[in-house]
Amino acid sequence: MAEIQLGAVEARFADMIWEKEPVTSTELTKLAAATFAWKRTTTYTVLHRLCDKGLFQNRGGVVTSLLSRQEFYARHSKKYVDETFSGSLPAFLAAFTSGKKLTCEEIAQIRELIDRAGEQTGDTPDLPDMLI
Amino acid sequence: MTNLFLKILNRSIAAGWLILAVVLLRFVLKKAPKWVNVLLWGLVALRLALPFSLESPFSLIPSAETFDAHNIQYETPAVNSGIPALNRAVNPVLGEIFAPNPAESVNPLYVWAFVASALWLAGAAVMLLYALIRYVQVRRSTAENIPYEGNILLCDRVKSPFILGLVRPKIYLPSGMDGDAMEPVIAHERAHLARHDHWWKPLGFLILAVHWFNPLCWAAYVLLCRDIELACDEKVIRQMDLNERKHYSAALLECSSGRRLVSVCPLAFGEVSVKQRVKNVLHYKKPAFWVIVAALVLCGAAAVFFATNPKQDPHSQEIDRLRAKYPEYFELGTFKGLEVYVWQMSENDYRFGLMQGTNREKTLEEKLALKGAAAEEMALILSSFDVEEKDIFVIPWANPLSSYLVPEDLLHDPEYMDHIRVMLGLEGVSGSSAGNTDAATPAGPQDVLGSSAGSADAAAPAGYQAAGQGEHS
Repeated sequence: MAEIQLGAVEARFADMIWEKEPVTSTELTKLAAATFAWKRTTTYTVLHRLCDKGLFQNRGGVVTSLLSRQEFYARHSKKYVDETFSGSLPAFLAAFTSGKKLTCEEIAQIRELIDRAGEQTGDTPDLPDMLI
Repeated sequence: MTNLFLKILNRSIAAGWLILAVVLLRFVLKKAPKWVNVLLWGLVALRLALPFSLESPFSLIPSAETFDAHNIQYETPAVNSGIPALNRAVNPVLGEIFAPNPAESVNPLYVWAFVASALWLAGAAVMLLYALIRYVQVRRSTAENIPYEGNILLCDRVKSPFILGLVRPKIYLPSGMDGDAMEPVIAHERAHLARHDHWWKPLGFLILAVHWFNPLCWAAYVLLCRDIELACDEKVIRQMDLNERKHYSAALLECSSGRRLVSVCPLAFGEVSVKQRVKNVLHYKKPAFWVIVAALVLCGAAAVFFATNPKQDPHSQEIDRLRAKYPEYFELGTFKGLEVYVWQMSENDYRFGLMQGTNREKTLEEKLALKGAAAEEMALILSSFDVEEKDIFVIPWANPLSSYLVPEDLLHDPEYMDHIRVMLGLEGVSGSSAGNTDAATPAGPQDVLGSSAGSADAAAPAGYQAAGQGEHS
């Protein structure tokens, strides 16, 4: 699955949409002008590009997301683990936790996840929010 | 437009000497701070851009007016490159190829000059258009930015850090840039702003657009960009110790982008040869005070010797007037010398005519066709030629139209010849005249002529007195 890459600027803009959606494109231009001092044309250009990438859609002047923020970053995290740890989640966790101790909260959350994963049949569980 | 182009061409040629001098000086000034180099390029810019310049007797430039618009248009074309050997080589060829055709109102060379000036205008327009297009492109790609700090913005589409804007300049950084490199890069760009480099580079490009035909100007612009970057580096690391400098060099390497040879607006961080900049940074030592003083003295010398024009001939205005009065005495080739024909209309009335030197005798018709000029007029006319005195032949002859009879043997008397030569401000050729070129108290012919030939001390004979006074006011 082709990964959608976002630069830092696009990421900030995408965050704004995810936060405010559903939002009209006009409202979006006002927000972008206020936050980044962008002109209308700039906002529309970036919006158009993000829609082309498959993240959002602009139907009748209203912007909604095709991919939630969570889903988006989940895909990125999966890709990262695939590429760097050959898909091995334990290896990733080992590397992530090396040199720092897990808090009690974190341990409880992980335990809960493992239990939940064990109950499901076949599907690989999505990575939890805390690892994003 | 052609005249404007010729003026610019002349300025470009004159400035070329200064550019060569600066290039040499840069080698000498290796130990000096780099802002001195930028100062020298500023001098070059002034020389290229300002429509006026100072004259000084110390100028080492051969000539400030190689091409004369009036000459190209109406007379036998000749260049005045200030290098006599070059003049002698080029001008006869020019005179033959582009000989003026009396049937046409302007010289063929002038038509070529017009074509050249049209090409120049086109070239300048292309360069300015290129700059405009690049500017618009950059503005568009940097529109998508998020503020970082003050006048610093982050951009996705930017490959290396740079500055854009004249009045309210902004620093653009790539959003994916390494956090470690941020600090030195920002320091570097801020130093650019403090030095106002975001004005000097576009200004340099503007001047280059006008002088695009001069390869020396291209060299100057490339070197200017290099020196600006080095001077900026020095400004940043001046207060840094070795460790900080290593950190700075690392950032330099990080941000070095593909090398673009010529750019107009964006002052990019990694544009100029990275290797040289890293070397400069790591080996930088605060220059001693006397080094700076010596460098500035050399700059001043360069300015005096190469940025000023050579003093123009004080007689040039009169020569121009004579050019209009006796045009046929100015279009002569001197490869076989010049022949000055002199005759007397009366006791004190000497008339002079000028013809090109040839192997044959001139016919009576040719001699009669000569317009009689006064002695001092002919002296000035002769001074405008680049010919040695030994190649100027004085030929006295008896004009049948003159009522004054000069005895035949006098015409061939070497002392008479010397007396004439002295009148023309030339050295006498025979031994008897003691070679007085200052005052013309000729020896010899006094008793023969019966009049006080001393009155002819390079002053016009009586008939031309009034005109003479007017000329030498």
